[in-house]
Order: sequence, then C-alpha cells, then structure tokens
Amino acid sequence: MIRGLLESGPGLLVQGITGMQGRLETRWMLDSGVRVAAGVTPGRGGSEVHGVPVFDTVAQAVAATGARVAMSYAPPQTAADEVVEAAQAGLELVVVASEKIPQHHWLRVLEVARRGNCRVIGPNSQGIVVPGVGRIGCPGGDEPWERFAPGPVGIVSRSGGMASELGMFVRTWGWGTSVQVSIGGVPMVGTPLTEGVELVAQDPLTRAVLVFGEPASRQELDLAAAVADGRIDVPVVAMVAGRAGDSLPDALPFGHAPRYAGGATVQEKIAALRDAGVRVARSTHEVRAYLQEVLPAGALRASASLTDRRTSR
Amino acid sequence: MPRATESATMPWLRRLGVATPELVVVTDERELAPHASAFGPPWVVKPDIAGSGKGLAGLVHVCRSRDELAAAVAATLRSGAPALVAEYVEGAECYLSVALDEVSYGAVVRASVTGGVGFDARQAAAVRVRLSEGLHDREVVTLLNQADVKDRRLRRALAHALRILWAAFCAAEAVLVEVNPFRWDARRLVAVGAAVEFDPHGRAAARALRPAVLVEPGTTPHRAPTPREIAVREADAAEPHRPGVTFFELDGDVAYLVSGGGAGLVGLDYLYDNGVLPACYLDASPGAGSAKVQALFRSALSVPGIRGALFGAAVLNLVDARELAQEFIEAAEAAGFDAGHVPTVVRLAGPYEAEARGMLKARLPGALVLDREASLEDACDLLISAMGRAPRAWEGSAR
Repeated sequence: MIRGLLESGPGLLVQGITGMQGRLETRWMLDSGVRVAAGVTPGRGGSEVHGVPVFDTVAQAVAATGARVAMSYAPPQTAADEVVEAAQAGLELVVVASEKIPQHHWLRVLEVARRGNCRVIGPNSQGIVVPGVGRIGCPGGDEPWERFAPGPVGIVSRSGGMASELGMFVRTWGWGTSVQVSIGGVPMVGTPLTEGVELVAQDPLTRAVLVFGEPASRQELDLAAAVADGRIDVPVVAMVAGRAGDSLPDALPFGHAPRYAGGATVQEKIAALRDAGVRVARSTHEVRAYLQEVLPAGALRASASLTDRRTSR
Repeated sequence: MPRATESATMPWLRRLGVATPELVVVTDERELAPHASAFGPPWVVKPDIAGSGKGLAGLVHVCRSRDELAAAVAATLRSGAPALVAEYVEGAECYLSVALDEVSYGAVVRASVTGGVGFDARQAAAVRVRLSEGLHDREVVTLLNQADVKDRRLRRALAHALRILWAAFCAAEAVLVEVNPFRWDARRLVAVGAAVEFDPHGRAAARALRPAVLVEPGTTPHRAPTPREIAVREADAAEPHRPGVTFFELDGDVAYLVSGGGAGLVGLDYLYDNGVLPACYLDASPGAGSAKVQALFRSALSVPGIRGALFGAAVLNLVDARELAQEFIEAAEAAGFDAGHVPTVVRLAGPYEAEARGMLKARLPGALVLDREASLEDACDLLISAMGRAPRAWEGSAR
C-alpha cells in the first residue's frame, strides 16, 4: 500500500508546512528526491514554501493536486482536528509527527479516520521510508539514501530513533529495507505494532519484519497473539528494550510512555513473543544473527532507483 | 500522569454529586483533638497519597477509640504522608470504574458487587464504550446485568453513580476514575476510596474541571530527590513551553547520557546484561533547548562516585551532531568532569557527525569517540573494557 502510494500520484501533502519543522523537513524531503505536491496551513493559502504551493484547506489542496498522502507537522492542539480534515478530504494515509495530543480527542478522531478508510500513523511518528522510492517525513535526516538501501527487511518501530538506527545497520550488514515505519511511542497510536507488521509484510520486497518494542502498552502482546494464531506468517525478529526498568518503580518514566502498575513487563512481552515463535534479540548483534537465520540466502540489497534518479539529475 | 490524593478527590466527587464520607487531613498530631469530635467514632485513618492499594499495603486503619485514632495518625505521619481521617461508613462493598482502554481504543466501564482491599479490577464486569458514542442506558444495563446486581435500589444507585463518573471522566479528560469501594447500606451509596488519573496533555477546558490539587507521579517519593534531580526539574519547569527532559539517578557508577526513549533503553539493557549499573537515566525531547540539556548533562556528569561515562544517541535525524557535542563539552567543563581520568565513550552519528567527533576529540582528549559503524552496544563494550584498565591505558582503544 505504502509503496504504491509513494510510487504513483502527485506526491505528498504537508500539513503545517509553514511552521519551523514543516519548512525544514519539506526542504529535506525535496532535497532527497521526494515529490511534495502541496502544503496546507489555514490562513496561508496562496503562498509558497520552497516552491511548494500552500493552500488554506486540505480539500482545496486535494482538489488542485489529487494528493492521497499527508505528512502532518500540525501542533498538538490542532493535530487531531487536522487528521479529521485529511480523512474527510479523502486522503488514504496521514503520518502525524506531533506528540502530546489530548488522548480523548485523539481516540475520537481515530474513529472518524477509520470510518473514512484513512490510515493514520502516529502520533509521535518520525515517518516512513521506502528506500529507492521515497519517504514521508525525514527519517535519515539530510542523507537518507546514504543510510537506507532497498532490500528484504521491513522495519516497524515504536521508537523513531531506533527505526533509523536499525535501518542503517540493516544496510551496513549487506541487506536493505523494504518499508521502514516509525509508528510512534505512545500506547494508542493510529497503527499499532500488529497492523504495522501486516502493512510492511504486504510489500513485495519484504521477506522478514524487524520489530522494535518498548515498555508500556500491550502492543507487543497483541503482536505475539497475531503471530501465534497465524495472522502474521512472515518471519518476525523483535527487540523489546527496557528490561532494565522492569525491576524499578513504575513511577520512574522509562521510554516514551508511562508504565502502569499491573501492566505487562518487558520480560512478559519478550516471553509472549518467544512463545509465539518470534525470535527476540537482546542486542543489535543478535538482531543481525536472527535476520541471517530468517532471510533467504540470496536476499541482498535491491537496486536504489530513487538514489539513482537523484544522482543522475 | 497527574493524579489526585483522596483529600482532593473526595471533594471533587462530592461536587459532582457522589456521596462521600466526612474527612479531615491532619499534618500534626497536635491538631487531632478538635477534628476527632467532628465525626466518629469509628474513624478510618490512611495516608493522603494518590493512587490505590493503600489497604493492601496495610496502610488503612479502622479506629474505634481515641487512643487507636491517635496511634494510627502518629504512625501515618511517621511514614511521611499527611493522615486522612475519615468518617467510617458501614455497608456492603462494591466497585465502579471508568478508564481509557487500549484494547478498544475507547473506554471501559467496570462494575462489581464486591470490592475493597485487594479487589482485582480485572475480575469486575466490563463493557467497552466508544468515546464518540458515549455511555447509554443499554451499556449501563448490560454492565449491571453482567455484574449480577440484583437489588433494584442498588442497581439504581450504581447506574446513577456510573453516569456521574462517566460525565466527569469525559469532561475532565481522565485516564482513570475508580471508586473502590463504594459502601451501600441499603439507603446510601458512599464512595469511601477513590483513585483518579488524568491525561497530562488534556485540553485547558478539561484541566479546569479536575480536582484542585494534582500530583505528578515523578514526584511520588520512593526516596528524596537528589540535588541533581532537583536541578533538572527546576530547569524543566523554568521553560514550560519547551519540550521536557527527564532525569533520575540509579544505583550504579556509570554516567549514562544516551538520550532517546528507545536508544536510551537499548544501552541501559546492555549494561545491565553485562553487570554494569548506570548511575542515571535521562531523556530529552527534541527542541528542549540548551538550558535544559545543560542541566541534564551537568547533572549526569556530577553524580558522585562516577567510574565511567557513556554519551550518545541513536543515529540523529534532525539534530545537528555538532550542537549535541558542544552541549556535552560545555557540561563536562561546567561539572569539572575529566575524561582523561574517567573512561568516557562517545558514539555520535548523524548530520555533521565528522565535525562533531573532531570537536569532541579536541576538547575532551581522553574520550573514545566512535562513528556510525559502531553500535551503542559496541560503545558499551568499549566502556566496560576501559573501566577495567588504568587511566590513560584506554586511549587507542577506539577504531
């Protein structure tokens, strides 16, 4: 789904394009060869950012460009409402960078997005990368195609930083990534781990999925259940960080989200995943070894068409 | 997650229309005499702290004489918390709660005709409710049927209380509103124990509808904060408009300065796995600003008894590595930290990483500075190895 959305169509729509983060990341997305069709900031319609036309509403931007995907840099107070606007304008995918969005409002907005068949990634997402095709947001900073290469490993991570770290190592180890998704670190994200794995498993390049989990939330338990009952049949290698915090008081804030007394510990998540047949690594060294086990012998790097396209211009 | 103590929760519930016992908060044993005659005996004494589990922890005392009351108040005050002295309410115990629910991405309402000390909410009847649809009579009836509430008057009282709790949960954007237990004496349903938690990022209109005083769990004392933890909290509070920082000390001797909710945990786990205990954990959201980052780094490098230091992050995407390196250099200088005598490993990758490594090598000549080819675990391995050697003997260990 994601590869198709990035390969075809007019390019991305950037919500909050006139803000500091929106401007910076739009510049970097353009520099890395990504097509940005339009920006949206209420009240700034008619202006341009780095040559990208800005519209007052998503509906106007969609009518003018036909965009189907949005990256949202809207601030926390308006980010949820802007997802509603995107869903109502018919967008198929919205990636939300903002964090600290009011939870009650966010959950109501996810219901609206689901009814409109609009997939939401985030909040607190660093974005998505399809090496050789494009990216939504700026994983890889100013040099994505020096860090990420196309290949057989899908990456789904609750940590944006670790998504990029693992993507970079997968390239260093001689493979590459099919789709890399930073789903966001809070418990109730638009696309939780299981759906994220299902999403990247659909990609034609994916031969295995690498998952990065964290303390708090039940997403790792749900993923274990999905693997155990056969809903996910692609090989999954997981790393769940935060074991060290299990023995410390719940009040100490490890990781992206608060840990709750009585919630699953990291060790319990690891045990559930292992029981389901997932290879769970204790370090990135073990990640490499497990990927070696599950990837077909000939699964190496695919050609980097976007890199070629950019460097040949 | 902001929570309220019972002395803040009970007046809030009363304003909403839920019956609660008479209560007073006592901070000094000498204040007890006038309060003791306002209601009771018997009295209930418990620490005035946020959260549930006080009964299970043996912190709730039912006192039938003034001597017992004085002893219970004194014991509670000795534990470091104010004492909540409440009217004792007779009756059968039951349970209601409303909570955000990760399973349904909505809310879950729970009810039980039992409750009280040690009650496990997972044993209660549960009905899931969509936030956009709200709680209707259909769900209330289903819940009370599942909870097997047969007494018609109790059903009416619980249904009424549940609607009040639901309205408060939504209006104040709570994460949890739990009454455990209610006491039912066939006439009155009285909330005698309650725990509430709220969304820290809730909207201003919702925050205005919460109990008057809330406490942050970060300030829940499992021990007194250190001067360095206080310094970081003060720096964080001084710029509330900027993203936040987190710092707390642990029992080890490695200054651990690997930021990032994910990467920070990866290195921490690896050190623990190898028998090395960090002296601290820290995290800074992007955009936290120099003052907060300086407070974080200075605090981490100032923990007494440090035998090693690890500084770095997952490969940076948006942050300029030179800026991060400069913050570390300035903090080390301000803290009087000497990388020539304390083994120090830095792993920095991202925009302008070569320049950042050059700055670090020039200004902190004793530090081992690694590039993107090295993982955070490689950095941990080098640090562990360096800590086992004599000063200066670790130079040259880095590739």
